[in-house]
Amino acid sequence: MFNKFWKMKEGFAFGAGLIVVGLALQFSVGPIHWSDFAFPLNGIFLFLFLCSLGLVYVLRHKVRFFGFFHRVEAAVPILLYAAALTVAMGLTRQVPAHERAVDPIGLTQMLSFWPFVLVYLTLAAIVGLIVLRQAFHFRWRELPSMLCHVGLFVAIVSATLGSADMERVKLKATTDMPEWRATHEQGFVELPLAIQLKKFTIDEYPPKLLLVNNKTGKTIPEKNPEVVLIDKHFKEGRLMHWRIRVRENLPLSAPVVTKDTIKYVGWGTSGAVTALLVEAQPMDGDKEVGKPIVGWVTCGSYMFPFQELKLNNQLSLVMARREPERYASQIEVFTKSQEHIVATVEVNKPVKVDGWMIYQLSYDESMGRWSESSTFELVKDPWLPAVYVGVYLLLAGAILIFIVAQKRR
Amino acid sequence: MTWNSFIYFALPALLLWLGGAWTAWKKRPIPTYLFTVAGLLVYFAFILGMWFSLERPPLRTMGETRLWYAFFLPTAGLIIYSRWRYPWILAFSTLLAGVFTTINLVNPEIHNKTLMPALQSPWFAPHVIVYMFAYAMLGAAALMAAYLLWFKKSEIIEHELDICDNLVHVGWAFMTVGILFGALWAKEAWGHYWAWDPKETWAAATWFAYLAYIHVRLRADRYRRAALWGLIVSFVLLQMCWWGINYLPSAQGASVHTYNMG
Repeated sequence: MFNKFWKMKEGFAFGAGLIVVGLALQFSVGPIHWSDFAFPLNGIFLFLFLCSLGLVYVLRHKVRFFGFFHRVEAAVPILLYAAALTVAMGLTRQVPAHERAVDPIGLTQMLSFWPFVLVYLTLAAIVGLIVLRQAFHFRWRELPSMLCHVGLFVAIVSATLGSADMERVKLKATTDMPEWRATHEQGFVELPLAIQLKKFTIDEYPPKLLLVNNKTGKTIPEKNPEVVLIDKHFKEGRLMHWRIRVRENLPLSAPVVTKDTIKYVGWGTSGAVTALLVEAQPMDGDKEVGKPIVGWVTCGSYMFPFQELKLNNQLSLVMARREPERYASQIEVFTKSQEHIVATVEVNKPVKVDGWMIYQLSYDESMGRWSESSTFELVKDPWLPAVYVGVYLLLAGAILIFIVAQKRR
Repeated sequence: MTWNSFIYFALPALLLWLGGAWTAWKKRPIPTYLFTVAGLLVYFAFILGMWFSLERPPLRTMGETRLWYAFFLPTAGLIIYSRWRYPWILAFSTLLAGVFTTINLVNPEIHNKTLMPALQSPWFAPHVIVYMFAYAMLGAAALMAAYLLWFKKSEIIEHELDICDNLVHVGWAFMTVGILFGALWAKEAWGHYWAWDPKETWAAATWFAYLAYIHVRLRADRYRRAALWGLIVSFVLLQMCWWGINYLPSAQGASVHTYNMG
């Protein structure tokens, strides 16, 4: 079988061997516990991995098996095994890292599944060997390909080895006092910094009105309801044969119960609701039919119930739950080095303090815009710079591949 | 600008692209460029109008991404035409752009203006636009492969495989850029650059599959039919990544990428 040159067939056989070895490991020593792989163990592994790559590279002409890893016939089958295992991962619902796989083989915990890890490891090894070859036999023609190989190698190795050193915790900050106790999957941790919420703000999208069926409570049409958006340009809108106009718009208000009705008045403190005094006119084409129905509509808050406008026996006009456009937390951070930082954190705009990235995660949704707490995710990833180096090299390689994409003969 | 005025932009653009396809077939490059670019400008005017009136880039719903797809197909076609002068490429890209435009005309999926905070980022537009361009190129490669595998009677010649290779190189490059932009954005928005979200998992599988094609083609004289089959399979994986996960039971509720339903 292994005469002169190894062919694609041998590549597939080698990959199948990896799967078998992986399965044997999976059933004998159990799935991989990445959390055991924290520094310095990952550093030692990286050193050994790079040394063995160097050795395989140097001996590639002496040992045929080593030489094989530099060939397309090894790369293509491993890529296909990697693709197939990744597809299996995509087809199964994965359980979180700290839980056990829910299937007997371990496919639902793919990242700890030995065959998957061995195939990815071999892939990284092949990429590393090609980097060595392209570096020691540099040709300008191969620059795009080399950048891709280096970038992928650096990114995949540092991301994998660094995963155990990454800390990801959640912290719920309130306006009462600084909070330094955070939670992760295993329970509580005390952080070297504390966060106090100074102010939480939400900008909401303009209110939306829609029709619902009185009996079923379902929107009309059921799946993609027709809506009118009451923004600053709004003059009038149409929902089925109803013409909608707004007579009064109170962004912050509270209900006042009078003798026979409820009306809304401006009121700017916690629990306030947006109230619209709406006029719904039944129409026949462009002609008004009968009298309009006028009344208040709100979507309610944690303090006040919502208010709908009943149009007839079948239909009511309601306001949809307000959607947040932007939410932000003004926070004070206290660090062990006696630093005292004031910053604003919002979605897509994290803040970095003492090596920790602070992300806006959520807020008390039952209180909505009046939330008095804000939840943050704090992430510390010491290997991130290395991953970014890999990402940018791969990016440069991909762009060069696009620029020079041209078959040479 | 609303979807109601789409037809007044879509039809003139399609007619201009048809003109470009016709002159390309007749081997007259200058009118080809003029027609195609004019069509692109008309189409892009609508996209820009939507962008302004929605007050956000029209990239969120499937209908909106089809708009970009229909725009990028002739763009990709024109780039390929300018590089390699394939006379058929613009006819093909116009046909596909016509299909996506027709879907949008029949079923525009009118949506509201709102865009959730996680999507409000400067990364949003490049991440999706680059992807749409990659899909367009890889779609062209898959069609070429289908033609060579099932419709071409005579033997496959080198030149035709070169077309596939060029399309895949460009498509793969854009796909890589799309994935990496996504990773950089994810670090900003979700705290980690790669979380094995179902969309990311399928993107990785697709990426490996195209890499397998690129590498097997380094042995240009062998495995030809297998490589072409690889293009078809890879494109199926790409569909899973693009919209398939919206319907995949294992991704339901597990993916942060499923906001583009409907």
